[in-house]
Amino acid sequence: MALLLLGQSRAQEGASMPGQPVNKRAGIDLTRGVLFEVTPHTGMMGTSGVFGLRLGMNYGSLGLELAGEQVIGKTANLYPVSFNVLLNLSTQGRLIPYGVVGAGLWLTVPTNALGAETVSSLGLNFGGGARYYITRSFGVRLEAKQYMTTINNEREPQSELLFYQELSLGVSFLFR
Amino acid sequence: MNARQACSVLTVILLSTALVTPASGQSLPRAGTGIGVFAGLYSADGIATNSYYGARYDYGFQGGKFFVEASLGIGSLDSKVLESVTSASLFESSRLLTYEFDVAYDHTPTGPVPFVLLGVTGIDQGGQTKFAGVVGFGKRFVLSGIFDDRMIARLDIRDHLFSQEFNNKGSFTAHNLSLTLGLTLAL
Repeated sequence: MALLLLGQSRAQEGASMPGQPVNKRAGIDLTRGVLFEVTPHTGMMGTSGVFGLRLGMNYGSLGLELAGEQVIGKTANLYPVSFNVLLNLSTQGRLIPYGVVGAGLWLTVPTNALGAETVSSLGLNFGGGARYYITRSFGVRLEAKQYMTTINNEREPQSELLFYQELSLGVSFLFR
Repeated sequence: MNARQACSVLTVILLSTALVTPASGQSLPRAGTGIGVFAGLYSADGIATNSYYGARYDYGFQGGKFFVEASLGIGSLDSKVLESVTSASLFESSRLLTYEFDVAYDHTPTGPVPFVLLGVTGIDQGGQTKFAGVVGFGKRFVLSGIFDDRMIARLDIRDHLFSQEFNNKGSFTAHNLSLTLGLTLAL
């Protein structure tokens, strides 16, 4: 992947499509076909630390991504895996703000409770963020999200709706 | 690893670094990707010091003055001292796994000033995971004549800071120190 990234970085920095004007503004152009994106990131969900990786593709204003995270809790680790849809609010330039909505599976894995089992639940998320590209293949990405999930309460018949907020900072690698 | 073994490894690392002299006129790659491996010592605060090794990926930008890095490290929490004084174990296993994201600033890539580094890491200590901050510094040297001057030697010293608690006896800020020597190939 590193070779791909490097090759793409060099190709993007020097090339323009025949017949198309060179974009003299330093930045990226999401309107010229599909751009794939890899985003390792870290952050906080509540008071717990987060590590994660997003694999995505952008085509103009639309983006699709698969995201996996580890939320490190005191007594359990949470592993949200989600599929997200992005709406890029800009398609050219260095700064690309976006909105995001997605859904996925949450796995809660206890770390120090003997006999406790992994609990899975479905979750939704929405939020927004921005990517700022330092080069045509590399930038930083800041994102804020609201997560929602339900868990079954063993003592009561109804389920409980839970909300979590996440703030994350990562880097974004782009390649075609 | 006992103190003598730790000192031996440390000596080898320091001697190796001293032998790697930056060639005059050789500059570090100004930007782009690099992949590498590292090995050294990891001192788990209050537990033990053991060997530590892993792999890293880095990406330089702004003329090579900044780079971001992702790394994976593997070590051990084995402690002969703790084993000899108690039959109970602090963790389910002696496995130590770290996964780290960092950003570093190297003001003088070819000069004598080391780079400084900040980041975060996940530390899996025998099944118990901690989220830790990372501070550190290091130095990069071009190994001239190897792979068209694309091979870089690195010395890194880092501190993993996090809240640790044993047996519900109150938490304290743990400082897990690591000293590693690495090789990175600039792609």
